[in-house]
Amino acid sequence: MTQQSLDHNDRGSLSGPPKWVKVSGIILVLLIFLIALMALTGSNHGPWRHFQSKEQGGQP
Amino acid sequence: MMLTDGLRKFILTAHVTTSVGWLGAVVAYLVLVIATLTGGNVEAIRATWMALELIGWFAIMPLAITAFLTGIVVSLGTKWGLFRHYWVIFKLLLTIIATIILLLHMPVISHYAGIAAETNNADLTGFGGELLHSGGGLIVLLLTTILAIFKPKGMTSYGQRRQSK
Repeated sequence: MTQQSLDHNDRGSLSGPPKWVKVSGIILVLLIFLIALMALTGSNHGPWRHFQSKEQGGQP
Repeated sequence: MMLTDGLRKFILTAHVTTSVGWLGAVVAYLVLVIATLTGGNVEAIRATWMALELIGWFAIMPLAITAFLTGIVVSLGTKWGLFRHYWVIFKLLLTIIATIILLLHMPVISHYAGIAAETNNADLTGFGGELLHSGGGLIVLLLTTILAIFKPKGMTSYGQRRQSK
């Protein structure tokens, strides 16, 4: 993290977010949405499913 | 507040060490899961659940939390900042997501390890989830390592304002 490398990374960044940020941001948001959806709804996923199945006498 | 050179190097060393250690611990975890999935008998499955619990609580968890905290200190104490560069923000977000999933998932490991310790039963039902969690975790940690090394360019509007001052 030298000053030279810091300056190098700043070059050309005075406009909007670079393309890699937009693409990665969209992928990250979609992944977070997917994980939240899997954890909260009926995909038999999420940390609490194991404890629910135990209470119901099913497989752990 | 900028860190002194000696303190910055000390915290950066702690950050790199714990980050790489976190990655290595996840690889060890993943190897155990794959080895059990591809031919573990009942005793091996029970032993693996107990080993995963130990690796998770006493290696992965402390390494993850230390890497997260030292990363915040290093970024805030240097010119990189926490919200000035997109790569730092992405690295922070990925680390937070991985740590939250780890915190939510460890009680599940303890649950299975408890069953393995108290009974003679063992099944492979939970190992599919372990493959998903540890494999996903490994991908996230590789991404954060790539971000830290390549530091792709791109400054946030906040970073640009701070730089122009």
